[in-house]
Formats: sequence, C-alpha cells, structure tokens
Amino acid sequence: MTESVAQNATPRIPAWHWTIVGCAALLALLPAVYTVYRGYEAIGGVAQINGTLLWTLVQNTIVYALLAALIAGCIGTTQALLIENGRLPFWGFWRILVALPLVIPPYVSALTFLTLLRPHGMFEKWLVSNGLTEFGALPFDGIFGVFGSAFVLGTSLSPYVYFPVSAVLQSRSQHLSELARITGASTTRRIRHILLPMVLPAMGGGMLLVLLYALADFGVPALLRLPTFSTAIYARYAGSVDRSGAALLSIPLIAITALLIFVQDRFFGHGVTQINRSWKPPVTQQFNLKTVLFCALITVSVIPALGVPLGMLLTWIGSPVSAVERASIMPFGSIVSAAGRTLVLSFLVATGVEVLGLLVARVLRHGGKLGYAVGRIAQIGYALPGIVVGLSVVLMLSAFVPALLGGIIPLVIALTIRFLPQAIQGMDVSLRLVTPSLEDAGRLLGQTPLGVLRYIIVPLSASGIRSTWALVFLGLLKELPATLLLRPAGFDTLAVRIWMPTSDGFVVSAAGPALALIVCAFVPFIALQWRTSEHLKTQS
Amino acid sequence: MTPLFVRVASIALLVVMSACGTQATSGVNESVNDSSTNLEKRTLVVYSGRSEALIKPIIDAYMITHPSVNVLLKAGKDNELAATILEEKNTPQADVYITTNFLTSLALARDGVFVAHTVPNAAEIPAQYASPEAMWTPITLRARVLMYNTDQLTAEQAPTSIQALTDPKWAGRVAAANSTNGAMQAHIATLITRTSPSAVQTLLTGLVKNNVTFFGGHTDVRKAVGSGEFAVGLVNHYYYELQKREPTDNKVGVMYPDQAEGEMGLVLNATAAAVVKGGPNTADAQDFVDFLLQPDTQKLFAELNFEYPIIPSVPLAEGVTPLTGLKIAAFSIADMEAQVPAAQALMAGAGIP
Repeated sequence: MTESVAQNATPRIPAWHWTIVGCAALLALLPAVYTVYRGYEAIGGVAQINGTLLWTLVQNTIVYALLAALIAGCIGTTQALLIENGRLPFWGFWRILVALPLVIPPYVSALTFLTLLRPHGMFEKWLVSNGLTEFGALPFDGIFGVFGSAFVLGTSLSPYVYFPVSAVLQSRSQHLSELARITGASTTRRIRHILLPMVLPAMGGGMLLVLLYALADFGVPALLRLPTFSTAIYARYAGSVDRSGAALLSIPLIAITALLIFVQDRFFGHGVTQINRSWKPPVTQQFNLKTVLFCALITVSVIPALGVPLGMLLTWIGSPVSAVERASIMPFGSIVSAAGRTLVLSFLVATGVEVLGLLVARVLRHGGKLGYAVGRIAQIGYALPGIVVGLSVVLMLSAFVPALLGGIIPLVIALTIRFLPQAIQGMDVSLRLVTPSLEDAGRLLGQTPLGVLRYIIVPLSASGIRSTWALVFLGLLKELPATLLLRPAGFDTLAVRIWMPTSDGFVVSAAGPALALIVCAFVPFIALQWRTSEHLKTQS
Repeated sequence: MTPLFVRVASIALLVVMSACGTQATSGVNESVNDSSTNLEKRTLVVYSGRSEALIKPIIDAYMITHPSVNVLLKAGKDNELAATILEEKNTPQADVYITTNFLTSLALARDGVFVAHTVPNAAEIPAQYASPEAMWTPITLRARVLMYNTDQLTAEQAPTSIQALTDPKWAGRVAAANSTNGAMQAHIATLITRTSPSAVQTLLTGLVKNNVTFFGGHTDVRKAVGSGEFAVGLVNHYYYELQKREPTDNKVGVMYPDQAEGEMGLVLNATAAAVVKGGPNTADAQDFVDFLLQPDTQKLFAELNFEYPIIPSVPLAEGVTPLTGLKIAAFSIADMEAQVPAAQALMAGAGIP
C-alpha cells in the first residue's frame, strides 16, 4: 500500500502544475541572486561602505530586532495568560481588543509617537506650559534610536505572539493544569512543568516572526531616526544614480535574515499549532478585584499600539496647517480612489499569490525531493526584506527586460515574491488536514487532478485557505517599501499616500489616508476573527 | 454575534470592491486631480525630484489651464528618478523630468536621455545656469542658508559660515539633510570645487564628530529648528520662509552664510526641468516646460514656495532677501558636476547617512 502511494506520488502532479511552480521558484530566485551578484561586483568599487557605518548598521539592526521581539513577546504572552484562563468578564471583547493592533501599520504608530513624544513635541510642550518641567529636562530624545523604534514596533506586533500563545493555552493548559492541581502540584511546580514547556515554544515562534519583521522593517526606523540596513539601502537607492551601492548593502541583510530563517525552520518549522478539538470554552466570568485588575492591565497594554495612534490620527483630522501643507492634504475623493486602488491591487495579488501558494504547497508535499527543493526556493522572498525585493526587481528587469519597467508589472512581481512564502506556509499547514487517501479515492472515481483540487482539497482546507488569504491581504494593504520603489506614476497606494507627506514632514496630511488604511484593514481582520470564532463554535 | 459581524463585513467588502471596480480599470491613469474623468484626455507623465508638496500646486495650475491634459506625477528623490529614467532609456515612461539639482540634469543630458527644447523666453535666463545645448531648463534658484531658533540664539550668536558648524559649541545642536538630498550633494560638490577634497573631508568628519543630525529631507530640519529641538539647521533658504509662516513653532531667523572677507560666499543651486527623449507625449512635455517658465508660473514658485524665479524680472515674494548685494560663490556647472561622485564618496566615507 505504502509502495503504491509512493509510486502515485509523482504522477499526481501534472506537468502544467510543475511548470507553474517552477516558474514561480525562478521568479523568486533570480532577482535575489542577481542582487547579490551586483552587490558582489560592487565590492571595492565606487560604492564604498564606511566600516564604522557598517558596524553601526549591524548593531542597530540586530539590537532593534531583538528588543522588538522581546517587547512583543512579553506583551503578547502576558495578554494570552490573562485572557485565556477564561475568567475575565467580557472575555470575547478582550480577545478582539488585543488582536486589533494588527490593523494599524507600525509606521503609522511611529508617526504618532514621533509627534507626541519627540523633544519639544506635543507632550513636552504640554508639560512645560503647565509648569511641570522645562525643555530638555526629561530625556524625550529617547523616542529616537533603537529603544524608541523597538518599543513602537514591539507593541504594534504583540498579536504575533498573542495568537500562537493563546492557541497553545486553549489547546491544552486547562486540562493538564487542572489535573496537576488535583494531584496536588504546587503553583510553582505547575508553572515550571506544565505552563512553561507549553508556552515557551509558541512564544519563541511568535517572537521569531517579530524578529523577521523587524529585520525587514523600513518605516519605523526611518521615522525614528534609527539607521538600519533597510533605511541605509533606501538611502543608497534614493541618493545615487548607481544602484550597486544599495545591492552591496543588501548582502549582509540577506545573510542575517537567511540565518534566522534557517533557525526558524530548524526549531519551529513543524510545530504548527492547531486549536485542539477537545478545547473547552471559558469556565466562568468572575467579577472580582483580580479580574478587574487584569482587564485594566490588558487595556493599558494596548494603549501604545492602539490608543495612541487612533487618538492622534483623529485629533489631526481638521487641525490647523500651514499654507504649504494645505496643498498636500488629500480631498476625500482622492482618499477613496487611493483606497480603491489599494484594495483592488491587494485583492488581486492576494488571490493570485494564494493560488500560486496552493500549487507550490502541493508540490512541496507530494513532489518528492525535487518538489521539496523547488518549494523551498519559492520561499526565498521570506529572507528578502521589502526594500531588497523592490531593488532586486528593478535591477533584474532593467538589466534583462527593460520593456517591462514603468507599468504595474514590476510591482506585481515584487509583491508576489514578497508574499508568496506566507501563502505557501499557510497552504502547507491547511493541506496537512487532507488525507492523501481521499485524493486517491477522487482520482479512482474518475476526477481529473484539477477536479480533485476543486472538489476535495480546497473545500476540506477552506478555513486555512481563508485565513491565509486574509493574512496575505492584510500584509499587502500595509506594504510600503517595495511599493514605494516600484509604483508607476499616478498609482499611489494608501501606504504611499501616508508616506509621501510624512517624508515631507506633513503629518496632518497623512492622517486621512492612514485612517482609510485602518478601515480597509478591518476587512481581513474580521475574516481572521471569523475563522477563530467558527473554530470555537464547532468545538463548543 | 458572529454571523451578523461576518455578514456586515462581507457586505462591506462587496460594496467597497464594486465601488472600486470602476476605479480599478482606470487606476493606472488616475490623475493628480481626481475631479477629471474625461477619457479623451492626453496623459503627461512627470517624474519629479521636487517634493510633492512643492510641485503639486504648479501641476494643478497647469491642469486647470490645460483641461485636455491629465498629469501623472511620480515624486521621489532626484537620483532615484534619474536612475529610473536611465533604466527606462529604451522604453521611456516619463515625459518630463524635474530635478531639484541641475547637476543631475547635466549628468542625464550627457547620457542622452533628454531631447533639446528651447523655451520661448530662454533669452531671459541667466546664462550661467542654462544648458548650452538647451537639454534642460533651469526653473528656480535656491540659496543654501543657516536657519536658527530665535528663542535659543540671537542674530549675533548665530553661526556665520558652514565651517563654523564644526565648532564644539554647536555639538548636537545642528540638523541638516542627509546624503540622499540633491541640494546637499550639490552643495558638497560646490565646496570641493571651491576648496579641495581633503578640506571638504575635514569639514564632513567635523560635522559628523559634532553630532550633526542628518534628516531625510529639509522639512524635518525646518520643523526641528522651529520647535527648538535644534538650534541651527542647514537648509535651502525657502525652508526658513516656510517655517516663519507656520501657525506655531515659527520663531526662526536666517543667516546667509560665508559673506565675510575671505569667505567663499553663498552657494546657489538651480532646480531644472527637461523633456525626456522618446517619451510617450513629447508635445505636451514641451508645452509643460514652457509653462514652468512663464512669468505667471514663475510667480507661483516665488509666492507659494519663496524660491528665486529664474526669470529675473519676476518679483520675489515679500520678505525674501534679494540675491543682489549678496556675495555668491563662483561656480561652473561642469566643474561641479564632475565632483558629484567625489561628494557622494566623501559623504559615505564620513559616515553621513
């Protein structure tokens, strides 16, 4: 039996399927390889890099990423521990609240923090005008640099840790913990032997995601004056007609990220957390000092990522501006059309990437050694920060297919490379739910491979497909650096519409598109929540 | 609770998607001015190194006076867009290139991506800023000045030269634009032609040692000086004028530097426009460049953005210091342009972001 399955493994994937997946892998691989080549070529050339600057970049980038992961880890885990014991009043509300920072792009958060907390900023001025301090007495310049940036990003990305930790807690903690209590284990013992071994891997996995995000992050360090690889690559890209300096700076960043991916693959790659079917919904709602205190703590924990950005954006709407800034404030109609463009582009690319991801994930699982290799190669975009993907597509196309430049195609290619890995991983997880024998049955009963895909695989992994799509869509909506580099003239997405006035120092003009982006991000967010709720419903 | 939530969400998504359906098809052709929906319009693509806020009013004015043209703007940094134009050389996408730094247009002209175009009033343009082959046209002049916060410094205390910024007493109190900025690059290139590479290297390392903060753009600099975060900022002159007119944080003064005996004088730079060779719409591109040089448009540059119009007869905005009577650093465009790579290398070498 095993033998026959093994024999069937290869024919199950038709030639057209292989071709598409092969093209996707090539598409993902070639620009990266070419960028490294161009960078390597530039070594020792005009595009020199100051050694001190390089060392600063390495330090800043790594410390920034580690700190952000630590902050997100602490906040996300604490939130999960407080919420998932199921004793809080309005339990469902808190679960949605701590996930909500997902809809606010970290660079929007950074922008609001910058305005509020910069030296001589809103807060310091308020303190001074009330006689509480004088200018320069308090270290407001702390908002700049590695700590400020890590704080803003870490708080924004706490859902990345909250989700896996809460899933683990839902799946097993109640049972085991109760069992341990009944058998007389002390609290310390229960924490050490049950809670920690369960929570730590999930927390680590979530923190690694934050780490990867931070390595690639462009907006937050650019706004908070932290020189990292991403910002330095952009500075080289924007400041010089010669692109090879930017390519050269990309190499260390690709190396650091690739190393991290390797670590992730090695230690967290296969630990997928599914909500266990035996999970029981929360026990009771308890109103007492302790639970009210917990609720207050959770509220405080989302103030930086949710309260500050939303509050600031809303106050900016309609606040007075100088004559020159007035010209850059977008009329409502322009915001709506930019939102339309962003939604349509994200919708189409997310859908395309999703289909491609499904095809690649199939090859990855059933394509033998070759399939595994091709599937891994297609995920190389994961190790390429948005700024590097953008740069590499520009370099590649201008060297070999300049006719494609200038239109929408380069942007679509870059976004595909950037988000394909996320789709492949999501699809891979979803496909594990489908037993191979079901496929064989479908084929035996006369279905074509396409029919099997359509009538068996897709319906059976629908919820995973939906949540993967929602995550990719959410990422696309907020994508900034690759879009900034590759957008055709006149094709500005909301993220670009936030960035352009911001880079001119016009924060009030950024408020309208930022709020529009947050509203748009609600769509995939709700889809994600829906999925979790459906799980809960089928299980209760 | 959930089904209702979900239903509302799906309906909202559908409504948004269908509302955008029409937008999507015309998405790429979206104009800067969204009120224009006429499909007969000719498209004109402008790549601008001038920041969006400083070119959009002019484009809006052009579209009002030329209702049959729909201008698509891609704003970015001078060199970023210059590189894009070079890459698109065989399949040009842009019709007009606007730069904040005429040195970039000189370099691009040499690479053969522009087509010569003489504006009707070319005779009025001072010769030292013009392209001998009319490959590009200067639009406005900018002066490199020091602005300062008047709460922190009096006019007597303000530094009077760029060199003075390396004095330890200004440590941590000065802001400037970073190496991506065209005006900054041109400034350094000019300094190299007027002094020597090693002197400029000493100056730049002195600035870095003095903890000068380098921002992505001059607006950040002017806002930071206006708010008092920094005492002094090295900017183009109109950033001072803009900050002075802000509703808040407007206590700023200006110093036109290097005016004393033996000092090099004020460094100027010109913004410029050029018609891209083989662009999709050359006729309107030429018309657009002509428009930029018309006295009314030149007046817009002067009054909206306080720049020095390249056409000398156009009056300055009220309060802007006239260039006549100031000592201007002598320059030759070709010499300056030759030093741009050196300027970039020196800035990178000094560790300026």
